[in-house]
Amino acid sequence: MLFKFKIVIFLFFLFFIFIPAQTKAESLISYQFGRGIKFKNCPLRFGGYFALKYESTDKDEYEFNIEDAAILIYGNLTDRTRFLSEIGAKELYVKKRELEDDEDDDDDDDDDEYEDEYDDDDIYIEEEKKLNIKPKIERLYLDYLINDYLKIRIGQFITPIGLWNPIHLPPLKWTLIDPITAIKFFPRLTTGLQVFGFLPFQNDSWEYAFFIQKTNNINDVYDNLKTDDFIGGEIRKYIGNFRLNLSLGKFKDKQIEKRLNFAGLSIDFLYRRLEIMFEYMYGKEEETNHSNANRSSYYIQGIYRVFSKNYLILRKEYFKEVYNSSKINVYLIGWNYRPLYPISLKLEVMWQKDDVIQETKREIAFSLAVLF
Amino acid sequence: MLKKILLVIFLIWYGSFAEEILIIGNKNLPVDKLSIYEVRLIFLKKKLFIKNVKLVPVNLSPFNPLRKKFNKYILGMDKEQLILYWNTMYLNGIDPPIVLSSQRAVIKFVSKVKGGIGYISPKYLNNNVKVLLRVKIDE
Repeated sequence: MLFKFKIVIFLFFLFFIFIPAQTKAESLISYQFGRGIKFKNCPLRFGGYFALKYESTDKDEYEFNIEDAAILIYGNLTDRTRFLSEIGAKELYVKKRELEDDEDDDDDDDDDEYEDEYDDDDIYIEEEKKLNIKPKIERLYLDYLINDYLKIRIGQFITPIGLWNPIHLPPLKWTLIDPITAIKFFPRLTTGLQVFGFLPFQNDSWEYAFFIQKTNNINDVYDNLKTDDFIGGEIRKYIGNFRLNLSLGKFKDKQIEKRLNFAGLSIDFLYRRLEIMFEYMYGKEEETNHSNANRSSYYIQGIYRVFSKNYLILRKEYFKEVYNSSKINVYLIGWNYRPLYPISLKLEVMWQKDDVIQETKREIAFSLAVLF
Repeated sequence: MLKKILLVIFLIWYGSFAEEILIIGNKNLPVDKLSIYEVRLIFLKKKLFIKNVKLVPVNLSPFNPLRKKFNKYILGMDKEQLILYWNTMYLNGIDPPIVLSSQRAVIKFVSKVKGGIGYISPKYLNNNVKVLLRVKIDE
């Protein structure tokens, strides 16, 4: 594994040594680290990113994952037309060891030696390795800009809801571990139509985004929840250092064959070196009136630039699901270091406490994400 | 009377230290005045049009002292915040404004391009562009 890792690192540095040399030799190409390649007389820019992570828990589980390597192609085709495509290999290389409950797996004799070593109720799944080099479309869309008040987007795009979801890419996220609020309530990606822009009053301080999906995704690999029927929207208001978002939507979850409604509120506050993010989401099954078919979650996160390129992140999360009486509290402390601005090194510790089963899980995660 | 004279002297003295940033636009732009908030939206590439004219904001190089003041007083962001902002925009397919090497180049560009918008010190101002906003800054 170490050998493969060295190959990846070697190829990565080779890429950056090679590209600047090209830039000097041929003025037809310009390259800026973290901003991609631009060819003269070509409206498109070529760039991308890659991200790897290592996570381990106090239950002796771990995962090493080259979680994403993506090529980004984008540009202004005309004054009013923009194009973006992001094609990536998700989980390019994964090596992990997971703990699973023994109860459903009694007939697996091969695991006996592991059972002897650990608790009787648990088994260890032997280390799993996976290599996936098949490229998949993560985003693919075309924008038509009628004016600042009406922009139209067609294709597969990031669902424009909340604070976390729109920056849900490894080099942009503040922490590797996503808040539950951002992953349990609506599909991360939408394939369909979006209209967005400013609302035409109060000096462009209001924004809106509405979207509709009535088909399968172009590709589901990058989505957290699979859907073929999704509608929703968000309104945002900027007041000084504050940004306030209100969102609403509903979708059909293809995996559980149920329709789910959601509503959300998020607030972002930015003052000098400090940013505070708060998101609350409420979700409910549509076809039932049972009060036990709902769930809610919030997180509040502080990001403080301790000194240049170094950020301290503190987060508290809460998730409640009435259906299975689940109540989870999550506490996270993280450090995000950017030795160069296109590079993000993250180290974080998370404590997840399940109030119902009275269990606390600790997870340590490290990640490297690079824009190129 | 003496108080008034002293006040005028103070204001002249104070004014000599206060610097101005001029936000300039192409003469054919269908607007004569912009607010700081609008300029911020334009240079962050959130506002792309003025009455159907596609805007082309131009920046000075990151090392230019006027650019640093523009970032601080108009955009309200420091260098690090801006880089992280443009990282986000990069992954959403939006490039930062074009960078020009000097204020003379900014004037020349803005005077030639219909949607051109830039910023300069008052001493570089000429009749080929129009002033959309004057921002007095004192450090």
